[in-house]
Amino acid sequence: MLEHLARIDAFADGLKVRPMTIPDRFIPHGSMAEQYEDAGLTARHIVAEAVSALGLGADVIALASKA
Amino acid sequence: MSETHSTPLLDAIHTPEDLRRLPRDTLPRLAEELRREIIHAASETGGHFGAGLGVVELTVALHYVFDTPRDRLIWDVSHQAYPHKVLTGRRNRIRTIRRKGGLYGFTKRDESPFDPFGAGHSSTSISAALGMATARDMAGEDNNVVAIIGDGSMSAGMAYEAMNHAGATDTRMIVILNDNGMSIAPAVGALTNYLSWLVSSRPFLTLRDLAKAVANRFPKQLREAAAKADEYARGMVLGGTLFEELGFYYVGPIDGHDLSTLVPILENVRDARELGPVLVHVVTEKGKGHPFKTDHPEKYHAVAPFDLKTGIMKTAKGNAPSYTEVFARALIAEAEHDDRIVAVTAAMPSGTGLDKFAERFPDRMFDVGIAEQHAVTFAAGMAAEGLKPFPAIYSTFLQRGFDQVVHDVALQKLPVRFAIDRAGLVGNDGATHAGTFDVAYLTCLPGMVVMAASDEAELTHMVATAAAYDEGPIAFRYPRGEGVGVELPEKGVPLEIGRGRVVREGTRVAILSLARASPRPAAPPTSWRRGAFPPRSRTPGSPSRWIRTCWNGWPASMNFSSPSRKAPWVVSAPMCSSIWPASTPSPTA
Repeated sequence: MLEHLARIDAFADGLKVRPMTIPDRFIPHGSMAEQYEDAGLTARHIVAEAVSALGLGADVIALASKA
Repeated sequence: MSETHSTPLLDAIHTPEDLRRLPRDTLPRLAEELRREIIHAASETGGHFGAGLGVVELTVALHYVFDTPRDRLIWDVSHQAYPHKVLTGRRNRIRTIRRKGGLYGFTKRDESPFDPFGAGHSSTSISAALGMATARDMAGEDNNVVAIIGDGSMSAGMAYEAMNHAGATDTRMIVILNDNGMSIAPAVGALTNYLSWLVSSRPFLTLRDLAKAVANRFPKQLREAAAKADEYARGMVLGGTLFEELGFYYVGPIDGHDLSTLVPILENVRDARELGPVLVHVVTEKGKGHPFKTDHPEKYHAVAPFDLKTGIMKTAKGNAPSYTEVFARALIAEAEHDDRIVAVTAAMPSGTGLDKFAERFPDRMFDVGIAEQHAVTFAAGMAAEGLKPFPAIYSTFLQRGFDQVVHDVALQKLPVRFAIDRAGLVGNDGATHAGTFDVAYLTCLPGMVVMAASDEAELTHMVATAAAYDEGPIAFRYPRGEGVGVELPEKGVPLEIGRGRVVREGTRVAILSLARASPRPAAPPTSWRRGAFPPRSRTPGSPSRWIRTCWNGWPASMNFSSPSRKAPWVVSAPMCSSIWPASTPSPTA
């Protein structure tokens, strides 16, 4: 995906991309939910990543969860 | 702790050093206490306890005879190492096994000095033992190296590669063949029949035989020069044959639950320093003493926590079928209409759901044993002749057949259909079983189509897609555990290869997700669900196709390359948990 965006010069227009992947380490045992938490790949992590990419602060997250 | 769980001998053992100080005649009692402790722990935690119960006496004998951790014990797979963990200072944590922060379900080097080599996958122990024995010899040390390997692990080529090498080097090492007639499912293949024949054709080695065995301990050169008559006479007691052909000194079979034989024979083997590689054939009963009255052999492998009195397992059965069940159902549905469809498993008929397929099509299912390399190339051969093979292999185990995927399948563009179960993080089995690498190791191959199912209905369609796709290799991956509870189609409909799906429209943020891995996605903040943040697009296909068609699948408003509009932000979250719960309608799906 990054390769494609780079080829079409998408980044020139200010596009921000935040890849989220399994981290570069082995994830120790636990429940699957605990492992994804450990890997930083839960819904909460995605929200935080998007909010930070938008340059919005923690107040927005609080607002969003109240809404 | 209940009265029936009184374990006075075991309580006094903090390290194997304490065990080695016990009078020899108390060992059977210790073994009984250890067995009860394992059953008690298993009832609370669940886990792979059947294999451990089968080697309780063997574990006691090994730590009694050998000077661990100076002598190295290498447990193959090591799911049978629970008793070993209890005896090596980890008893107080045995009830944390497989839980976050607790003991690992397998041996692990950084968990204990008594675990000299970690495992999880099978058939590695003889290679590791030979490497350690070689290092020992180069360092001029004299410790023992012992590999303990089950007969199920002996279906993998690696065990023979190691024996072939060891037999040629004459390195002093001991292989204990723990023969219990099954690995996870009952072991398959000619070797199993051969072992059964070995066991049935001669009585257990007794102490009286041992004297003869000692008398027969010639240097190898002498043995080779010995007359046929001697070979015959020796065969009456020691027998070896296949293992001797490979250069091992064969001792057995031995009753693996009889400590009065096990201990002296192991001592003898330990002290026979001129022998080179020795194979001790020990016969055990997997799950010995387990409280279940079940004849389901795989239940001996891994269990959920259970009630000690009733033996009833405490599993919370989910509402949605597992991905494994959905795969099996979908494959059977396809196979009803296409008699070229065949299925291949590497010793995991129940784990992959293919036992159901075998019930319906017994002649079209092939269990090749723990032998993923062979499974892949075997499937390639069938594909070359026009069959439609579906090897169903866990992501972590397909790693073992990687060159076969590259060299035999992808390079020849053979339409092998890889059903990759347990994709993503798999939970309690931990890092040795992580299914997180297949996306990387498959999508880098030219011509390989890779799909990832985001729910069980999509999996059904992917099975149909794989059945219909004949141009080359194709793989579909799906996670461990139950689906998300969507309605299942009667029969799958082939998907357009590489076409993504917009789940929700929006304007500012795009979330790209490759399938879904977490079984229980968290609900997003309400504002997200209202559409303040927009689409998650997910798509089957190899990355190049994925990107291209993902592109096609996007709304026009998301055109990144248009200079006239403000560019959106993209959060790419491959293999992450889903943001939207399954019940949320997908407006553009």
